[in-house]
Amino acid sequence: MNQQALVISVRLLDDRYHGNGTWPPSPFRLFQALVAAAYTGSTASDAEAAALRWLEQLPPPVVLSPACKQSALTTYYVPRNGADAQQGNLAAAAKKRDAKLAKPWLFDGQQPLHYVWFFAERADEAQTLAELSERLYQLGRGVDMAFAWAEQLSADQAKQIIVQHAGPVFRPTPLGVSNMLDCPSPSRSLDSLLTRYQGQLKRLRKGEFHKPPLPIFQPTGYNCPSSLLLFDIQNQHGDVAAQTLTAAAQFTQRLVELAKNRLKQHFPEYAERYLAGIGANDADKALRIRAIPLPSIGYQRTNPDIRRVLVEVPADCPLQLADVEWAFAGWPLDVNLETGEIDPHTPVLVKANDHKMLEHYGISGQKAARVWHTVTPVVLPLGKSFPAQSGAERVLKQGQLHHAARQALRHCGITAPVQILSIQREPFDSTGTLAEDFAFQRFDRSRLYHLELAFPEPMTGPLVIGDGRYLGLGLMRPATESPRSVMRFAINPSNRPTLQSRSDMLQAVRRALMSLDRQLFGQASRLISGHEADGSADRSGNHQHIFLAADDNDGDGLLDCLLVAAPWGCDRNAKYSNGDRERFEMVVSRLMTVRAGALGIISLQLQDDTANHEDSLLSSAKRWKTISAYRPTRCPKTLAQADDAIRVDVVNECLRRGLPEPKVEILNIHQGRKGGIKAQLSLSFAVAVAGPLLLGKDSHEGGGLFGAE
Amino acid sequence: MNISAIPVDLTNPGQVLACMGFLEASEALLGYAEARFDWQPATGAQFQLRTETSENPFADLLAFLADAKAIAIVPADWLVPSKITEFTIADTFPAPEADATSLPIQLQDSTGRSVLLNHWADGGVDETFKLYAGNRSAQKIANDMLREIVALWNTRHDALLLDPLNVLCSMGGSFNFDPRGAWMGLDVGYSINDLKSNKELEQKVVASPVVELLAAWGLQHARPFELALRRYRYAVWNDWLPPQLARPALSGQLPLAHKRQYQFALDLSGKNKIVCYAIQENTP
Repeated sequence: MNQQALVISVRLLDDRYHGNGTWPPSPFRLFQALVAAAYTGSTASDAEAAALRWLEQLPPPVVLSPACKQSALTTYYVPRNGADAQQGNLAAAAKKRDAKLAKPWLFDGQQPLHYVWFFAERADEAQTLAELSERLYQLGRGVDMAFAWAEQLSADQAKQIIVQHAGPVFRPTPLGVSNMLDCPSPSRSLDSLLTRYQGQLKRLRKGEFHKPPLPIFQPTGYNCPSSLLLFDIQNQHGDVAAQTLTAAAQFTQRLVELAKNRLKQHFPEYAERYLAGIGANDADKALRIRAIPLPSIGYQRTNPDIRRVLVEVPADCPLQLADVEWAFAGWPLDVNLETGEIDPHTPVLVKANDHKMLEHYGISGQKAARVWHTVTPVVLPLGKSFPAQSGAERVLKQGQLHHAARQALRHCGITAPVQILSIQREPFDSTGTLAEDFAFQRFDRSRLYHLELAFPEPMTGPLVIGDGRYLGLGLMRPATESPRSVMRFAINPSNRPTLQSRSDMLQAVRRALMSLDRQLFGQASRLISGHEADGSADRSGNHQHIFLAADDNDGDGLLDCLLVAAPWGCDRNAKYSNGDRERFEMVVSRLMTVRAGALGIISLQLQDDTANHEDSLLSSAKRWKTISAYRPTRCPKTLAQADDAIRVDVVNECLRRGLPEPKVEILNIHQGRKGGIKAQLSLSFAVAVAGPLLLGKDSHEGGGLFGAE
Repeated sequence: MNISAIPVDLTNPGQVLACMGFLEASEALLGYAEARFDWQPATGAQFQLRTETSENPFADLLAFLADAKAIAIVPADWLVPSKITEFTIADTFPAPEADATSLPIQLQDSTGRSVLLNHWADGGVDETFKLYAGNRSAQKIANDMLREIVALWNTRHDALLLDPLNVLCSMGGSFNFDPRGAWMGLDVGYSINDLKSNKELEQKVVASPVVELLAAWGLQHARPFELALRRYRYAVWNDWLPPQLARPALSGQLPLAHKRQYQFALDLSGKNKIVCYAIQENTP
């Protein structure tokens, strides 16, 4: 059979899409757009109608889209078209308005959307649809103007396009029950759209309003997450039958073997392939069921024995969830084969009612984390290893371990640039166990390591990596991440503002952050804006909103670095909550572009924490010197008093911020046209003080910035 | 037992609730009854009702409605507002306080048979599923619906018996269960309400009074399952179930081998909640 594919590519004219529903625009949206293109002006030709009917019969397509994000919600007040009701008084009609909500998806408009349908044989209908696609004029709402093109390719060529696509790939998982995209419904969608159109034409009859019938489509699961079954391990009396942590692999193996044997009687092929992995190829990996023994964690002194088992069933797995549950639940794990007796202490899996424990493993939408570490060690895909003795050998071995860890992540489909924070034999939790204690049959001790990883974006669990991931080894949990109090951004060289425009740029940065804050949390907070909920300025007397600063590191007169500091990063006495820390992290880490009016669009790149130690603004030092002039919090009345007043003011400001008392050297004092006084200073502390140092009246807007000497 | 069937649109939440209403009404007025949905026929989905005493329970129930009137039920010692014309005093009252716009009602025919409808005043549950708002009262809405049913019974009798949920007529205020009668200015392109002031331009929205009244009856002992704010699930079943089992089955809470689940949203049109058409869930 010569399998073919129809690839319809659509480009929107703008960088946004206003259609309702989730991203990407659903295949049914495209189908509607094709119908609209076919029926423009008059009725469609028979060939086009036949091609559309052929298209709605095909299985759901693969959808390739550019990466996107959703903008903030905007409310437009649009006229109601009520001029008739206002007796033709247009001024009165214009005042009658309805709220229309818009929350468009933003993406790179240069990147097209691709919809890839696969079918058996070369078809004339596909060619007709390719010609019809060129008449497509919009996708989504009326403002979403678009054009399209299409071609009929061999299935291999289409798969090549999918493999090479840089953005998200949405694959249909028809059994999935979440992440739905609407798809054409065979033999029904086209007729329903035509009926709706006719109903729309005749909706007013004899003064009666007849609502047109709705279109018919089929919601289909796309990239659906796996289903999770949680079981408690109990004995015959209903008491907890905890299993030893270090026997995780043996326990899982026994569990899977028993479940496989039960399912094998009814689904012989599936049970071996998708449960035990016998005869499974690379394509089957994504469909394999995984049993994950869950050690008890959560509190410092929790005994980490295994008390629960999580069974992960991929959305597309051919075995039904209920069958998998039946195979695992309620069966004794140990039976005397000679007598048939069941020991009362034999463990049994019982479906758990309380799923709260899963939160400790990041299995919840709200529990996403960036830093993860292992609970059971990872089996690294290592070849024969050697004991490292010399320094060079140790370096080589470390390199091998890092490479193997990256391979392990790649095998699990994790392609994001992960930072490997630590590879070690020792556990990360105080109640954990050495990696080598988990050695088991083919997984010898030399391949077992505990890992700590930092992902670029927060991840949700369950996260199990390494060659032992189907036997319960390589289970990870979210680690506590030390919250950042300062974020340093590099300003893109293509558009760096001048030193003189520092103030304008920082104002634009704050606006951008407030916009992000609104986008993420619905409204801008005091932490970012410096204003109370009623709009008044924050005058609490404490520093409760962020500090901004910009600097020219290389001395070329152009700003090349931006600092965004949390209040507790610049004021050691500042009080803050976990919510504030999370909000600061979420909002500021998303800052990428600043639209700064006349200064143009400024692109920013968030710098690694490792770079901070080398930065003169963020390092620790005893001597500090102003980069931007210091403005005292209390202005001296005359220039003659300024010297003493500024010294006192700086000392008091340092003490208020929880810093030690410095020796102040005034380098120069400048009085502005309106009498305002600024000074260049040098501060000497008895002990090293960590940056950033932002002091003085305008320290939230970039004034009073100090650099280490 | 006799089996009767009527066409039903399973994506119309009002029609499914009305089917539940037919089942409740059958049990209340005709004796033991069972019902199921059949989505296999090529002609479209059907609601089937099985009773012991009636050859055509739908006809008998519609005849009851065509002969019934709605009487408000007020608590004892309550100062009855003048706009409530016909009422009866009850010793027990379902809500902590009486509200003139949402008093329980009693449907009573000329032979004295009566049934109680009061889901909008049910103080024992979190979700009353009261969708109408404003100055309208349940009694007035019910009487309006009954009047429309009488008109259809007299003028379109055969059509009403064959397809009671799809015989439409223009209506004023309703319980807001039938999405065919629900509109939003943004979708329609203009506000139908704005045209009310001009008799020449006035437009009446068509919907089914049978759906409206029977859906209210169907909610007497059952509710759709609340998934999120103004988002609900209901299920239809393919096995014969009596009302006692059909009630949990409607909310999707009864584990059944053959069922379909649908999700629908309540949209806001001013202060009124309106029912949107449902989408079938992708149940494996």
